Amino acid sequence: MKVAPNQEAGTYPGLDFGQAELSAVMRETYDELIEFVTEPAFKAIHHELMDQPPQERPAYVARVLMQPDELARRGVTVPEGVLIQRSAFGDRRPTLYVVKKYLPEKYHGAWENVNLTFDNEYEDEEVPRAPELAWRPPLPVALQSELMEHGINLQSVPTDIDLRLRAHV
Amino acid sequence: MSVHELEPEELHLITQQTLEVITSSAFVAAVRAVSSAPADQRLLEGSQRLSPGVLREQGVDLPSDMRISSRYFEEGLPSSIEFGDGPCGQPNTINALNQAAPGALDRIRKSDPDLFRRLVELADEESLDAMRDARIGGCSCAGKNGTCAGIGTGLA
Repeated sequence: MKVAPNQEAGTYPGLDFGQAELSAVMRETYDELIEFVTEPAFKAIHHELMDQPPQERPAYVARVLMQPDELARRGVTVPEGVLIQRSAFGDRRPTLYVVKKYLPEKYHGAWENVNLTFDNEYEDEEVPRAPELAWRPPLPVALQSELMEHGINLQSVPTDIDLRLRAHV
Repeated sequence: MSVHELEPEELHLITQQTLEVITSSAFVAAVRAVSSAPADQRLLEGSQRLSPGVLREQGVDLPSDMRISSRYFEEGLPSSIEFGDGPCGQPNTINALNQAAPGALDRIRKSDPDLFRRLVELADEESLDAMRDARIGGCSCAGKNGTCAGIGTGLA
Protein backbone atom coordinates (compact mmCIF):
# COMPACT_ATOMS: atom_id res chain seq x y z
CA MET A 1 0.00 0.00 0.00
CA LYS A 2 1.28 3.43 -0.94
CA VAL A 3 2.18 5.63 2.01
CA ALA A 4 1.26 9.30 1.69
CA PRO A 5 4.00 11.84 2.45
CA ASN A 6 2.45 12.79 5.77
CA GLN A 7 1.93 9.21 6.89
CA GLU A 8 4.17 6.98 8.93
CA ALA A 9 5.51 3.84 7.26
CA GLY A 10 5.29 0.40 8.86
CA THR A 11 2.78 -1.11 11.23
CA TYR A 12 1.65 0.06 14.63
CA PRO A 13 3.39 -1.73 17.51
CA GLY A 14 1.42 -4.87 18.37
CA LEU A 15 -0.87 -4.61 15.36
CA ASP A 16 -0.66 -6.07 11.87
CA PHE A 17 -1.59 -2.88 10.06
CA GLY A 18 -0.26 0.64 9.91
CA GLN A 19 -1.41 4.18 9.41
CA ALA A 20 -1.75 3.97 5.64
CA GLU A 21 -4.03 0.95 5.78
CA LEU A 22 -6.11 2.26 8.67
CA SER A 23 -6.46 5.67 7.03
CA ALA A 24 -7.63 4.10 3.78
CA VAL A 25 -10.28 2.03 5.54
CA MET A 26 -11.45 5.02 7.56
CA ARG A 27 -11.56 7.21 4.46
CA GLU A 28 -13.69 4.66 2.64
CA THR A 29 -16.06 4.32 5.60
CA TYR A 30 -16.37 8.06 6.12
CA ASP A 31 -17.15 8.41 2.42
CA GLU A 32 -19.99 5.89 2.78
CA LEU A 33 -21.43 7.98 5.62
CA ILE A 34 -21.04 11.21 3.67
CA GLU A 35 -22.75 9.71 0.63
CA PHE A 36 -25.67 8.68 2.84
CA VAL A 37 -26.17 11.94 4.77
CA THR A 38 -25.89 14.05 1.62
CA GLU A 39 -28.65 12.21 -0.20
CA PRO A 40 -31.53 14.64 -0.80
CA ALA A 41 -34.04 12.67 1.27
CA PHE A 42 -31.76 12.56 4.31
CA LYS A 43 -30.67 16.17 3.91
CA ALA A 44 -34.32 17.21 3.89
CA ILE A 45 -34.82 15.55 7.27
CA HIS A 46 -31.65 17.08 8.70
CA HIS A 47 -32.70 20.51 7.48
CA GLU A 48 -36.15 20.08 8.97
CA LEU A 49 -34.56 19.05 12.26
CA MET A 50 -32.28 22.06 12.38
CA ASP A 51 -35.17 24.36 11.48
CA GLN A 52 -36.82 23.37 14.78
CA PRO A 53 -36.09 25.42 17.89
CA PRO A 54 -33.13 23.79 19.72
CA GLN A 55 -35.28 22.58 22.61
CA GLU A 56 -37.63 20.78 20.23
CA ARG A 57 -34.93 18.96 18.28
CA PRO A 58 -34.46 15.99 20.67
CA ALA A 59 -38.15 15.13 20.28
CA TYR A 60 -37.84 15.41 16.51
CA VAL A 61 -34.86 13.06 16.58
CA ALA A 62 -36.87 10.51 18.56
CA ARG A 63 -39.94 10.97 16.37
CA VAL A 64 -38.26 10.84 12.97
CA LEU A 65 -34.59 9.88 12.91
CA MET A 66 -34.92 6.99 15.37
CA GLN A 67 -37.92 5.52 13.56
CA PRO A 68 -37.07 3.25 10.60
CA ASP A 69 -40.64 3.34 9.35
CA GLU A 70 -40.71 7.13 9.39
CA LEU A 71 -37.39 7.31 7.59
CA ALA A 72 -38.66 4.91 4.94
CA ARG A 73 -41.85 6.92 4.57
CA ARG A 74 -39.69 9.94 3.85
CA GLY A 75 -37.69 8.09 1.22
CA VAL A 76 -34.58 7.33 3.27
CA THR A 77 -33.01 3.90 2.89
CA VAL A 78 -30.34 3.35 5.52
CA PRO A 79 -27.44 1.38 4.00
CA GLU A 80 -26.49 -1.92 5.58
CA GLY A 81 -24.10 -1.39 8.46
CA VAL A 82 -24.93 2.28 8.91
CA LEU A 83 -26.44 3.13 12.29
CA ILE A 84 -28.40 6.21 13.29
CA GLN A 85 -28.16 6.56 17.04
CA ARG A 86 -28.33 8.92 19.93
CA SER A 87 -25.33 9.25 22.20
CA ALA A 88 -24.01 11.18 25.15
CA PHE A 89 -20.54 12.59 25.73
CA GLY A 90 -18.67 12.93 28.97
CA ASP A 91 -18.04 16.58 28.15
CA ARG A 92 -21.85 17.06 28.04
CA ARG A 93 -22.03 18.73 24.66
CA PRO A 94 -25.68 19.06 23.57
CA THR A 95 -25.56 16.31 20.99
CA LEU A 96 -28.56 15.30 18.90
CA TYR A 97 -27.75 12.25 16.82
CA VAL A 98 -24.95 10.37 15.15
CA VAL A 99 -24.60 8.44 11.90
CA LYS A 100 -22.08 5.71 12.54
CA LYS A 101 -20.48 2.68 10.96
CA TYR A 102 -18.17 0.12 12.52
CA LEU A 103 -14.82 -0.51 10.93
CA PRO A 104 -13.96 -4.15 10.13
CA GLU A 105 -13.05 -6.00 13.32
CA LYS A 106 -9.43 -6.24 12.28
CA TYR A 107 -9.01 -2.56 13.08
CA HIS A 108 -10.74 -2.54 16.48
CA GLY A 109 -7.36 -2.76 18.16
CA ALA A 110 -6.98 0.88 17.18
CA TRP A 111 -10.42 2.36 16.51
CA GLU A 112 -13.84 0.71 16.32
CA ASN A 113 -16.06 3.12 14.42
CA VAL A 114 -16.22 6.32 12.47
CA ASN A 115 -19.16 8.65 12.73
CA LEU A 116 -20.67 11.96 11.81
CA THR A 117 -22.15 13.64 14.86
CA PHE A 118 -24.67 16.46 14.88
CA ASP A 119 -25.17 18.72 17.89
CA ASN A 120 -27.27 21.64 18.94
CA GLU A 121 -25.31 24.83 18.55
CA TYR A 122 -23.12 25.77 21.49
CA GLU A 123 -20.43 28.27 22.24
CA ASP A 124 -17.00 26.70 22.26
CA GLU A 125 -16.27 27.79 25.83
CA GLU A 126 -19.54 26.26 27.08
CA VAL A 127 -18.24 22.71 26.65
CA PRO A 128 -15.07 21.91 28.59
CA ARG A 129 -11.98 20.34 27.08
CA ALA A 130 -10.33 19.81 30.46
CA PRO A 131 -9.81 16.05 30.76
CA GLU A 132 -11.31 15.79 34.25
CA LEU A 133 -14.58 17.16 32.83
CA ALA A 134 -14.41 15.66 29.32
CA TRP A 135 -14.08 12.15 30.79
CA ARG A 136 -17.05 12.24 33.13
CA PRO A 137 -19.40 9.25 32.80
CA PRO A 138 -21.89 10.22 30.08
CA LEU A 139 -25.48 10.91 31.06
CA PRO A 140 -28.14 8.38 30.17
CA VAL A 141 -29.21 9.35 26.66
CA ALA A 142 -32.92 9.63 27.39
CA LEU A 143 -32.22 11.78 30.44
CA GLN A 144 -29.96 14.00 28.36
CA SER A 145 -32.77 14.47 25.84
CA GLU A 146 -35.25 15.32 28.58
CA LEU A 147 -32.89 17.92 30.01
CA MET A 148 -32.30 19.48 26.59
CA GLU A 149 -36.03 19.62 25.92
CA HIS A 150 -36.47 21.58 29.13
CA GLY A 151 -33.62 23.92 28.31
CA ILE A 152 -31.50 22.73 31.22
CA ASN A 153 -27.76 23.27 30.84
CA LEU A 154 -26.22 19.80 30.73
CA GLN A 155 -23.11 21.12 32.45
CA SER A 156 -25.20 21.79 35.53
CA VAL A 157 -26.06 18.13 36.07
CA PRO A 158 -23.92 16.52 38.78
CA THR A 159 -21.63 13.68 37.74
CA ASP A 160 -23.21 11.28 40.23
CA ILE A 161 -26.70 11.87 38.83
CA ASP A 162 -27.43 8.16 38.40
CA LEU A 163 -26.54 7.44 42.01
CA ARG A 164 -28.74 10.28 43.18
CA LEU A 165 -31.62 9.03 41.08
CA ARG A 166 -31.20 5.57 42.52
CA ALA A 167 -31.35 7.03 46.02
CA HIS A 168 -34.75 8.50 45.20
CA VAL A 169 -36.28 5.31 43.81
CA MET B 1 -20.42 25.13 7.49
CA SER B 2 -23.84 26.06 8.71
CA VAL B 3 -25.57 23.44 10.76
CA HIS B 4 -28.30 23.53 8.13
CA GLU B 5 -25.96 22.36 5.40
CA LEU B 6 -24.56 18.94 4.65
CA GLU B 7 -22.06 19.58 1.90
CA PRO B 8 -19.89 16.68 0.73
CA GLU B 9 -16.77 18.80 0.27
CA GLU B 10 -16.97 20.24 3.77
CA LEU B 11 -17.68 16.85 5.31
CA HIS B 12 -14.78 15.35 3.41
CA LEU B 13 -12.48 18.06 4.71
CA ILE B 14 -13.35 17.68 8.39
CA THR B 15 -13.26 13.88 8.23
CA GLN B 16 -9.88 13.95 6.52
CA GLN B 17 -8.49 16.32 9.16
CA THR B 18 -9.75 13.99 11.86
CA LEU B 19 -8.43 10.75 10.44
CA GLU B 20 -4.98 12.17 9.75
CA VAL B 21 -4.65 13.03 13.44
CA ILE B 22 -6.21 10.01 15.07
CA THR B 23 -4.28 7.50 13.01
CA SER B 24 -0.89 8.84 14.13
CA SER B 25 1.17 6.30 16.02
CA ALA B 26 1.15 8.35 19.21
CA PHE B 27 -2.63 8.70 19.22
CA VAL B 28 -3.21 5.00 18.48
CA ALA B 29 -0.70 4.04 21.19
CA ALA B 30 -2.56 6.19 23.73
CA VAL B 31 -5.90 4.66 22.79
CA ARG B 32 -4.47 1.15 23.10
CA ALA B 33 -3.00 1.94 26.49
CA VAL B 34 -6.38 3.17 27.75
CA SER B 35 -8.21 0.16 26.29
CA SER B 36 -5.85 -2.25 27.99
CA ALA B 37 -6.22 -0.67 31.43
CA PRO B 38 -8.46 -2.40 34.01
CA ALA B 39 -12.09 -1.71 33.20
CA ASP B 40 -12.75 0.34 36.32
CA GLN B 41 -9.82 2.64 35.58
CA ARG B 42 -10.39 3.41 31.92
CA LEU B 43 -12.19 6.70 32.34
CA LEU B 44 -9.35 7.87 34.56
CA GLU B 45 -6.77 6.52 32.13
CA GLY B 46 -8.59 8.23 29.28
CA SER B 47 -8.55 11.55 31.06
CA GLN B 48 -4.81 11.20 31.62
CA ARG B 49 -3.55 9.67 28.38
CA LEU B 50 -6.02 11.18 25.92
CA SER B 51 -6.02 14.74 27.14
CA PRO B 52 -5.18 17.32 24.47
CA GLY B 53 -2.16 18.52 26.42
CA VAL B 54 -0.64 15.08 26.84
CA LEU B 55 -1.27 14.12 23.21
CA ARG B 56 0.42 17.31 22.02
CA GLU B 57 3.36 16.51 24.28
CA GLN B 58 3.52 13.14 22.51
CA GLY B 59 3.82 14.93 19.17
CA VAL B 60 0.22 14.63 18.00
CA ASP B 61 -0.68 17.62 15.84
CA LEU B 62 -4.07 18.11 17.44
CA PRO B 63 -6.39 20.66 15.78
CA SER B 64 -7.53 23.40 18.14
CA ASP B 65 -11.18 22.44 17.66
CA MET B 66 -10.74 18.76 18.43
CA ARG B 67 -12.58 17.43 21.45
CA ILE B 68 -11.72 14.13 23.12
CA SER B 69 -14.29 12.77 25.48
CA SER B 70 -15.87 9.70 26.93
CA ARG B 71 -19.00 8.69 25.05
CA TYR B 72 -21.92 6.33 25.33
CA PHE B 73 -23.90 5.17 22.29
CA GLU B 74 -27.49 4.22 22.80
CA GLU B 75 -28.28 0.86 21.26
CA GLY B 76 -31.63 -0.05 19.82
CA LEU B 77 -34.64 2.14 19.69
CA PRO B 78 -35.19 4.83 22.28
CA SER B 79 -37.94 4.44 24.79
CA SER B 80 -40.52 6.83 26.07
CA ILE B 81 -39.77 5.59 29.55
CA GLU B 82 -37.69 7.92 31.63
CA PHE B 83 -34.29 6.30 31.15
CA GLY B 84 -34.74 4.39 27.94
CA ASP B 85 -34.08 0.82 26.95
CA GLY B 86 -31.05 -1.21 27.78
CA PRO B 87 -27.75 -1.03 25.95
CA CYS B 88 -28.40 -4.15 23.91
CA GLY B 89 -31.84 -3.04 22.83
CA GLN B 90 -33.69 -5.14 25.36
CA PRO B 91 -37.00 -3.43 26.02
CA ASN B 92 -37.78 -1.67 29.22
CA THR B 93 -40.07 -3.77 31.40
CA ILE B 94 -42.81 -1.17 31.26
CA ASN B 95 -42.66 -1.03 27.48
CA ALA B 96 -42.72 -4.80 27.24
CA LEU B 97 -45.74 -4.99 29.52
CA ASN B 98 -47.53 -2.35 27.51
CA GLN B 99 -46.92 -4.26 24.33
CA ALA B 100 -47.83 -7.66 25.76
CA ALA B 101 -50.92 -6.52 27.60
CA PRO B 102 -52.15 -3.13 26.41
CA GLY B 103 -54.06 -1.34 29.13
CA ALA B 104 -52.96 -3.71 31.89
CA LEU B 105 -50.65 -1.17 33.48
CA ASP B 106 -53.40 1.41 33.69
CA ARG B 107 -55.65 -1.14 35.35
CA ILE B 108 -52.90 -2.10 37.80
CA ARG B 109 -52.21 1.55 38.57
CA LYS B 110 -55.81 1.96 39.71
CA SER B 111 -56.42 -1.40 41.31
CA ASP B 112 -53.04 -2.01 42.95
CA PRO B 113 -50.96 1.19 43.25
CA ASP B 114 -48.31 -0.58 45.30
CA LEU B 115 -47.69 -3.21 42.60
CA PHE B 116 -47.64 -0.45 39.99
CA ARG B 117 -44.99 1.46 41.97
CA ARG B 118 -42.84 -1.67 42.27
CA LEU B 119 -43.06 -2.30 38.53
CA VAL B 120 -41.95 1.24 37.75
CA GLU B 121 -39.11 0.97 40.26
CA LEU B 122 -38.00 -2.27 38.62
CA ALA B 123 -37.93 -0.60 35.22
CA ASP B 124 -35.92 2.32 36.55
CA GLU B 125 -33.42 0.04 38.24
CA GLU B 126 -33.01 -1.96 35.04
CA SER B 127 -32.30 1.21 33.12
CA LEU B 128 -29.79 2.49 35.62
CA ASP B 129 -28.04 -0.87 35.79
CA ALA B 130 -27.95 -1.02 32.01
CA MET B 131 -26.41 2.41 31.79
CA ARG B 132 -23.81 1.54 34.39
CA ASP B 133 -22.90 -1.71 32.61
CA ALA B 134 -22.97 -0.27 29.11
CA ARG B 135 -19.90 0.08 26.96
CA ILE B 136 -18.42 3.47 27.52
CA GLY B 137 -16.22 4.54 24.68
CA GLY B 138 -13.74 7.22 23.94
CA CYS B 139 -14.45 9.58 21.10
CA SER B 140 -12.46 12.16 19.30
CA CYS B 141 -14.42 14.70 17.31
CA ALA B 142 -13.44 17.65 15.23
CA GLY B 143 -15.65 19.96 13.27
CA LYS B 144 -17.50 23.19 13.53
CA ASN B 145 -20.92 24.71 13.97
CA GLY B 146 -22.53 21.60 15.31
CA THR B 147 -21.19 19.04 12.86
CA CYS B 148 -18.21 16.90 13.69
CA ALA B 149 -16.32 13.95 12.33
CA GLY B 150 -16.05 11.44 15.11
CA ILE B 151 -14.03 8.37 15.75
CA GLY B 152 -14.76 5.99 18.53
CA THR B 153 -13.47 3.05 20.43
CA GLY B 154 -14.92 0.90 23.18
CA LEU B 155 -13.25 1.19 26.55
CA ALA B 156 -15.47 -0.94 28.72
